[in-house]
Amino acid sequence: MSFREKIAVLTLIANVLIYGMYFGNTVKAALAGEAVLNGGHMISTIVLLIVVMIVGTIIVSSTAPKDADAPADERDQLISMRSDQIAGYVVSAGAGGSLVLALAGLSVFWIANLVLLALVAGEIVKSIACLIGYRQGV
Amino acid sequence: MSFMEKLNLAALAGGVLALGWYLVRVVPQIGQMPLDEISWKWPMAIAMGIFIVLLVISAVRMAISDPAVRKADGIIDDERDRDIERRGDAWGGHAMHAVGFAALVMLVLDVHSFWIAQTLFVGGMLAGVVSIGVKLFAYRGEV
Repeated sequence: MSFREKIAVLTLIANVLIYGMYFGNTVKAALAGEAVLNGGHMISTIVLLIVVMIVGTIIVSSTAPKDADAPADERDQLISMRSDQIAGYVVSAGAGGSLVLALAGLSVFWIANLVLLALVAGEIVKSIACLIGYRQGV
Repeated sequence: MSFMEKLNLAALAGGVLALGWYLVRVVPQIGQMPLDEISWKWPMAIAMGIFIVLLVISAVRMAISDPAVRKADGIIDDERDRDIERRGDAWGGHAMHAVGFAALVMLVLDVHSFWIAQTLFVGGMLAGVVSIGVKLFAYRGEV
């Protein structure tokens, strides 16, 4: 498995686990009638993800330093572009949905969480598209 | 000029017209009245409608007048078109990520929902302009 595939796996697992916990807690709070935006919880989750990604990338890089330093070849660039394209559609759809929520006058709790969900879903879809690209070709 | 290039030009023109129409309606109200009283929801919905209608009309007109499309041949799918579409969409996606992140920061900072909606709408339209701009430059061989 190449360095870029390993990073895609790391991104996928980190996003699913960390944001899975965040959205699990958020849904619980909403069901309990506490649909109030908790900025501290959101920011600490984002910071945790950044820390996990930095540490994970350092560990993966240290196991294959040559692979990590190698510039992206044409195939890597094509896979990355295709993954970014698909992720862009997901984020745009989520942002459009958030705009509809804002037009409908829903609270910032729902708007903020849909924006975050769109960004996270974009990252997850991007990682999956990247892995499929490396496994099946583009 | 290929069908996709013309379609991107039409989308750019439609987007700029719709966004311009919206801004002309909403911007003069800012500072003249409290944010809660600014009329922006209907203008935003109408601007989206204008954009979609203009795009559909342009696409249908071009499809009717383009012999290659009438023969269902050579519409999109040469490798260069696909590559340019991917590249433009990827750049537009990056811009949309930035817009989403900016909106999220504003939400956490408890900025008024008027500004968050404007960021999402205007930012989203500009991300579309970035995407189309990259595609049009790529068609001219400049990216």
